[in-house]
Order: sequence, then C-alpha cells, then structure tokens
Amino acid sequence: MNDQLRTTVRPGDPEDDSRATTLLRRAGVVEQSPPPHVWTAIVAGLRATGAAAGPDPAGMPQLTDDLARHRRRRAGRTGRGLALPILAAAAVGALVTWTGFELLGGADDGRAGQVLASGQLAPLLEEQPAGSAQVVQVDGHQRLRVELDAAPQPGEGYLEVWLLKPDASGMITLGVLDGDTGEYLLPAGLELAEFPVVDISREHMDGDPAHGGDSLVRGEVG
Amino acid sequence: MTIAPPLRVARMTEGDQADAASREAQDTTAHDALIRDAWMAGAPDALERAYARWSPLVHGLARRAVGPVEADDVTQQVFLSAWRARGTYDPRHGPLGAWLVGITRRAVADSLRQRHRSAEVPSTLEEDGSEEAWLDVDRDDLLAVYEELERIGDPPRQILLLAYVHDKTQKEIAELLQLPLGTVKTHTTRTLARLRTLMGGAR
Repeated sequence: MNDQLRTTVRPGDPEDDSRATTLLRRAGVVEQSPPPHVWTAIVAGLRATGAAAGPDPAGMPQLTDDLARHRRRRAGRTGRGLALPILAAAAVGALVTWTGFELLGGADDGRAGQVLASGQLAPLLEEQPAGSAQVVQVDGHQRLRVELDAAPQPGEGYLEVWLLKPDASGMITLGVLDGDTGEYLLPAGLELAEFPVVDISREHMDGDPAHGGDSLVRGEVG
Repeated sequence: MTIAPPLRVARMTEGDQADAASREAQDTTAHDALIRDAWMAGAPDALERAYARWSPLVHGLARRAVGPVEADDVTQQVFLSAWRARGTYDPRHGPLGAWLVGITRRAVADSLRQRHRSAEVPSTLEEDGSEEAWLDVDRDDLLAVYEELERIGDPPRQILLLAYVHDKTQKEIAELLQLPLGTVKTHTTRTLARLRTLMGGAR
C-alpha cells in the first residue's frame, strides 16, 4: 500500500481531521463478540423477571450454579481479566457471532449430548495440568468440553482455547478458559478432522488476537 | 516433547476483508429488516437474533467506552432492557441497530457516572496503545457516531468504516462494494456532512 497515494486520492481528505472521523480512526475496529456468559446472564435475567416471549425456557440450561460461580469470581476481581479479545474483527462487521449462541444449543450442566470424539490433554510445560476434551453434539451443534485436573497457570495473562491443525498451520480460537473447565460452541461446518488438536495457550492482554505461541496444554480429539 | 509451539497466525488478509465486506453489504439490509420484524412481533427468537446480529457492535463499543470487565455488564443490560422495552421501539425513528446503540450509549453513560461516583480509578481501560487518553466526552461521541451510522445504514455506513477504520481509498471501496466510484464519493461527502452536523450539535 502506498500511503502517499492513499492520502492523495481520498476525496474525503479535507474532512479527515473532523471529530467523527478522528474518533473512528482512534477507536479502530470496534466490533467484538461478547463472551458466552453474557448471553447466559441475559437469559437468566429474563427468566428471573418472567419476561414473556423471551427465549424458550424449556431449551435453556441450568444457569443458577454457573451464575453464582461467575459472580463469586467477579467479586474478587480487580480491573482486568474476564472479557478478553476473542478475535479481533478484521472486516467491517464480519466477526463471527457464534459465541452468542453458546447457550442456545440447549447444553446444560449435565453431560447431555452425544459424544462424537474425545481425547486426553497433556501438559507441555512443567506444573501445568493434564486433562481431557470431548466433542459433543447437542441439538445439532458441536461443542467442545475441556476438563483439566487443575486450572492452568496463566501467569500475567489469560488462557485461551484453540483448535489447531496437526502441523499448527491453521487454528481457530474458541474462547477464554477460566478455571479448570470450559465449554465452547464449535463453528458450524467445522471439520474436526482438519482441526483435531486442542490447545490451551497463555495469552497476554496486548490486544493481539493471534496465538501467543505459548502453549501450556495440548491433546488430540477426533 | 517434539510438539513445536504454533507459529503466529496471520490475521485476515486484505482480500478476505474485501470479500467479507462485500458479502456483508449485500445481505445486511434485508437481514436486518427481518430481525426488526421479528422484534416488533415479539417473536420468541427475536432477542436471540438481534443479539447475534448486534452484540458484537454493542459489546465492542462498550469495551471501548468502559473497558472489558464492565462491558459484559453493559452488554447484558442493553439487551435485557431493550427486550423489556421492545414495545417502545418505533421503526419510524430509525433502524433497530441504531436504537440498540442508543441504549448502549445511555448504559455506558450510567456506567461511567457510577464509576466517577465510586471514585474508582479507571485502570488499563484502553488497549489501543494510544497515548492520548479517552475522555468521557470522546467515548460518548464515538457511540453517537456509531449510532448515527446505524441510522444511516448501508452502504454509507460501510463506506465510512472502510475509509476511516480500515483506511481504504475511495477507489478500493468502490471495488470492494461493487459500487460506482461516484456513488462512493457522494455517500462519503453526505455522510461526513451529517456526522459533522451531529458532532456540532453535540457540542
């Protein structure tokens, strides 16, 4: 890209320093999917007030335990953590929104769903935990469940769960892991055979959506 | 252990962005109208569809404005109160997306007020690495701009974002959106004028 050309051909140039465009530039790409627990809380909130015509309660998960756990965690939290960049939207509005559907597959705290694949997870570094992962089918959606013997140590950062190609030439981020278990909706149409490796990495709060290269736990499903 | 740490993955390429943007341009308007109709009818899946469509925008704006932790609460509040107040949505006053961003703006303002009241020092709110601090008025104006863009709709909204967020030239935008260059220029000029009025009026 030729910056000089770029600035000379844009007819909007005279307005480039307008307040609106300055703010747009400063903010950069804004769109970012909320973490799954936000939808959980919305559904719980609707049920609490008995709101009519909300999402069908029959298909809804048992939320109370999750929410209580979540609130306890939040209570002890300081300024950072929790809602982390899942994936920066590279295109205008093109960020995948499937995380919003986390709960709509009717998953619950039980072990509902048909197990399609499973595997063991092993620590890549000392003092990181082992565990297991399963891919289950719930109401037509595939979900990855991760259970570890203990919570991995994120150090200064946070933990992110990925599906990788065996040679790590491609990867899909599934979301943030908080604690020792997590459940993630897999994008529709994902070929598990193509991305069979579950990887849990340590990421830094640097706003960089790419894998930080710091894998802690890994294993294969499928 | 022979497993190599994964290499960093490249972000979406320019070409991917182009394809995604172009696809989006064609689909959004009709898709949004369907969601609006479901919303107004109080359809059981309307909230879920509106959430799928606009939660990245609502949450992203909230993150910019109040930081990642409080953004979760803001997003939750926005969709809960929007659904509860869905009877007050009037399509004659603008698209559903603009209405939701308007609610986000108020929720953000509330959140910022509360923060000031509790004298909590905002910490590491920004992740954009800009040296210049975001003032509350900047945050509010940013949300106002996005609200207006949602009101204006596509393709002008997209043209502006491609130009000023994605730094595309008018020519590139015309190609991306498969629009005549003149149309892109006209939209840009009009939308900028509208935003200037908006910002002027907000002062």
